[in-house]
Amino acid sequence: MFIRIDNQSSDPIYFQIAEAFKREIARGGLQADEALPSIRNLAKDLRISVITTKRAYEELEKEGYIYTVAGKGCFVSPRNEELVREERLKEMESHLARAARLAQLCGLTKEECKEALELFWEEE
Amino acid sequence: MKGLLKKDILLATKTYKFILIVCIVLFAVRFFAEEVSVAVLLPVMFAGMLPTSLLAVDERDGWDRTAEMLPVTRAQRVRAKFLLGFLFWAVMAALSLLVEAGASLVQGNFDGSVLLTMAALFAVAGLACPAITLMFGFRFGTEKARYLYFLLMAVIFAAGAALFLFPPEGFSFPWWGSVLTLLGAFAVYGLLYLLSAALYQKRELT
Amino acid sequence: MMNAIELHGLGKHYRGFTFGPIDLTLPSGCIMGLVGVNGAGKTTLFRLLLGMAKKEGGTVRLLGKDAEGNASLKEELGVVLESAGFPACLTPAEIGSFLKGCYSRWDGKKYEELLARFRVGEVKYSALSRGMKMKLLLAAALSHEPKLLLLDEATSGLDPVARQDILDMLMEFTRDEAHSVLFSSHIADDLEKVCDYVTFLHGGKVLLSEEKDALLECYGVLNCSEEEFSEIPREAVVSFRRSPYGVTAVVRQEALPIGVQVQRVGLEELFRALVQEEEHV
Repeated sequence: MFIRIDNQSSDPIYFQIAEAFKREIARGGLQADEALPSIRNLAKDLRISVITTKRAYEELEKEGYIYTVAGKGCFVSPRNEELVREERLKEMESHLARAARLAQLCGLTKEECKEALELFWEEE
Repeated sequence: MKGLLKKDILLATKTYKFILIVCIVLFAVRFFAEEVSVAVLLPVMFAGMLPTSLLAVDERDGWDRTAEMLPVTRAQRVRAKFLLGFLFWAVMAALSLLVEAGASLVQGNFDGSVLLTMAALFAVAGLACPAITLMFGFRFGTEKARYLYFLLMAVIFAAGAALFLFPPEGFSFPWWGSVLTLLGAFAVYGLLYLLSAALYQKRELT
Repeated sequence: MMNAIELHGLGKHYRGFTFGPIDLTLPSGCIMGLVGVNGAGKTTLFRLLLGMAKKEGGTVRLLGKDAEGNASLKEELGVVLESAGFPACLTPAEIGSFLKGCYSRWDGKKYEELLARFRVGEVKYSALSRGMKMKLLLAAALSHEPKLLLLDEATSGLDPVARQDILDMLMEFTRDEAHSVLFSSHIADDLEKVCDYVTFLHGGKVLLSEEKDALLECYGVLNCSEEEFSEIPREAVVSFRRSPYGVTAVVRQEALPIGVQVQRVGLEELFRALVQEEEHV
């Protein structure tokens, strides 16, 4: 998993970390019920304060991405199947929008564009 | 406290080998000399001053501050010095008396009461008096105590020299006088230890 | 979990300088950085914590216990003070040999490993460079299973590589949540890298004591023109600097008008700004 912390960003560090985990979960890189690194180990590996990683995890838990088991740590929430789907829908829609725009630029008609889509759908 | 003793012994063996050599030379001189000279006091006085010297080294090295971080109380640090002082003195006193006994045996004028008197003298000059300097060292720091040290050394030496040059009639004390003096010196040493511990507790190290 | 350090009303009068009264708390498992100019009272704080100087009022609790007159508590403390030293004529190995008799949980093997890791040569203490001396003190401080590290200017006078080494060590030390560190420096950069909490000390008083990241989020650096600057409310500005090309100011984010963009402020810069503000009041 890749986490990049931008010190110059106006986003607080805990926010950046939470976002990184959200992306990873949406991407499917972290599976349901998979354990997250402990807040201490994460902090030390990223060389940041444990309070910040704690806060990041609190944010994630508040928004339903993860859950905590006392004494064991934090795990990815299974509910995220829906969130993953939503993320993917969003991504698909943005790709389609871009495709439509490009098609128009090339001078294609709507029908020609639909044909192209069907071709690709068959291939998958 | 064991660690403290070990440290001081390590330091003493490293730094004061020279004094040991001087003492051995003095012993040799006494052994082959005809008379007792005041120099017989020197080895015990050196031994008696060792704790104060070690304390001065501690201060110079910043060790007295480092020791504040250790799980040893100030009283234990004082105790370590006084214990060591007694040990060094006892060794030197024993050696000096042995040399004295040996020399007088060889020269045929062995006198037990003289030895006892010497022991008492050793205790006063080599144990009790330098302990006063040690106490001052704990209370005021060895820089200031150094002046007292020189004064004390001078006084002891002068008194010792006077005793030897102008021995009173019947030079050796009655034996019980010697024993009393000896014990008295030990008692004074113990008291000085207690006083030092109390004073050091209150001291602020800057 | 109990707090590693709890100070209430700790104070002492010196000639020409009053320290405290100060309150300070360090939760267990955290690293707290103490920032202050020379003479602000950082070393005084450590002396009072360790009982080297006698406090006048207030309480000192370390690892949940009263520190006053409690020598055995020092088994759990690893201390490095700038003014501390070992006997000049002893080598690190000899030093280790007698420290063994001072601590009940001395780990000789760990000591040797640390000396090797820090590359401290087997020479007389007086022959070691300053950086090496500090590393030796640190090695000794870490080799008896301490729970709380108290470091006063442990990185001052060291080259950047050595400093990073020590900071890395501190981060490793606090992977265990029972371990805590109080660490003072006038190099705010070092503290910014590793601290969870930061305390600003000035003139013997605590200017602030906060979570480091939260603190830095409250402030920012604003680079703007003279006109833009005149629209910023006074209370938002901690300090500012004018140049022929504009104004650079350290500001409080919450008092800023909406939409004003700021850059992240560094600890050093924030500290200087706050000290400046404090002195102008």
